[in-house]
Amino acid sequence: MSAIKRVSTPYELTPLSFDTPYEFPRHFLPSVMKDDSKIPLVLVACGSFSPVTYLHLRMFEMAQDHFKERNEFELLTGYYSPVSDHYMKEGLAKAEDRVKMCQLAVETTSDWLMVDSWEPRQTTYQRTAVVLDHFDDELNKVGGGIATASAGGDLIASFGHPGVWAPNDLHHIVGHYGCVIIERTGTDVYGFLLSHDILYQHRMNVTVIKQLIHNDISSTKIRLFVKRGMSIKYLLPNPVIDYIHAHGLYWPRNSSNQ
Amino acid sequence: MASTLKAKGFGDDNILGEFHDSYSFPRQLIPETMNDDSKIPLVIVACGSYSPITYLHLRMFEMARDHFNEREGYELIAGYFSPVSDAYMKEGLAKASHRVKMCQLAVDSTSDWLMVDSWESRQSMYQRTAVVLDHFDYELNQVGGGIKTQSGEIRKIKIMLLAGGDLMASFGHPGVWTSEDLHHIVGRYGCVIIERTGTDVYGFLLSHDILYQHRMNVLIIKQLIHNDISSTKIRLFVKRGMSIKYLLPNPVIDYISDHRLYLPEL
Repeated sequence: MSAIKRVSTPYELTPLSFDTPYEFPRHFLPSVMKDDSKIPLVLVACGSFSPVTYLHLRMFEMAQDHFKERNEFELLTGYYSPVSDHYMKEGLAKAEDRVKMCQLAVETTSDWLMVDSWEPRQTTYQRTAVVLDHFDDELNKVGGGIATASAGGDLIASFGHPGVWAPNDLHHIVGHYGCVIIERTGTDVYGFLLSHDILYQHRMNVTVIKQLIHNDISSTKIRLFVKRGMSIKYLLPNPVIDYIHAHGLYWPRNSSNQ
Repeated sequence: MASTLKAKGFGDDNILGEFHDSYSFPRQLIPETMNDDSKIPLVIVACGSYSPITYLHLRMFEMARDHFNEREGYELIAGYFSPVSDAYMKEGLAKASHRVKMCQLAVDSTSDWLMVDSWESRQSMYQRTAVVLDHFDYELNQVGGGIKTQSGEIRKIKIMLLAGGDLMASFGHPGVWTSEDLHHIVGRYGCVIIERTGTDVYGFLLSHDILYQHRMNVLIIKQLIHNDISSTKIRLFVKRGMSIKYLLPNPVIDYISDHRLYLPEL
């Protein structure tokens, strides 16, 4: 008996087969900002999202709380940018599936987050610096920025924790754009910031948000639970659970569990 | 048949709590017949404040279900939330009727095997856990007559307390639990404990005489995903106007918002 019980609900999922032509999503992007004294801000979260979890969704909520408190930025919207299949990471479901799961998550639970499929549609892996440039292009050149009384600056920041990055990219990402880092309990982000030359140089562009509720829902563990027939309920939205089940994602190969 | 340990103050519905309907024991998700005659039918009960209920509380039951899927021996029939009475006088407690309603919203919208029992919350005096378990035993096995097997025989349903490691740790605090109650809870019924990373549950089991005596009735489940969504923090977030999204079901968030729960005192 499988421990994964289907929670049946009918959803009208916006079909996003990669056969349909690409369009940059703007439906939650306001045309006018509310407070001219602030800098309009858009957050981009790059990642595998295999699958997207409540932790990924919480990250944006925490960021929203944080920027409401600060007077500097007006947070307009947030985007998930799932990595392309060419990243060749273990456990990656097909890009189309990962995009659809992110969409299910934001469409059924959120009124300000969107999913951009530009990065996963690329035939080669795109560095984060390039992905941010794409957002810059779409939001500010194609989109024309956002209306303010004065010609205000604009800023795009990306979530992330610095892994292995080329110095040029780091300067571009943290210097030209900026970073919002969700600090996990037990990690010493400020110490790291101090020790890392490039991050330190651009420290005014680095925002650290403390995670007050320790909520370590890792996609890796979720994939493992699915593989072992264990419950993943209450770790990610039900529509995403249903999708995983309906498409047989993350099950062991050659399994008789079909 | 009277339960071994008597409930005090029984019968005064609606005094605290402010319930507007009369009490009836929920049994709609208890099947008439169990699936596997070779197993012991089991119901687990989680006592707590649930102010408010969170995804962590709901996850506890899922983890327990996974555990019993693996183990031979028990067929897990259903699970109950039993919110504590307002008489418990704990800080941060919303009214019992609110807490019960929020639990119901949570299980109705997300689960097909969990129910909420409001008996404990309707009592005008605090009821000890041992007495609450007796109430479930009475309702499921006396009133409800237990459960039928495939072969038609009637079987008593075993009841166990589902709890986090902090409850088990409290067993060790002097004066909190009487020995008689501990023997009753762990010996006559049993405990399913969700172990939090960092706590040494097995070490504690070894060191505690009564728990050790009934160790065959103490099942320990390791929490593999560290997911510490505490109700205390959620109340704090609400008070500070911070987001609680994705920490508990949306219908419960809406309820908290509609009824203006946990806002700062004016």
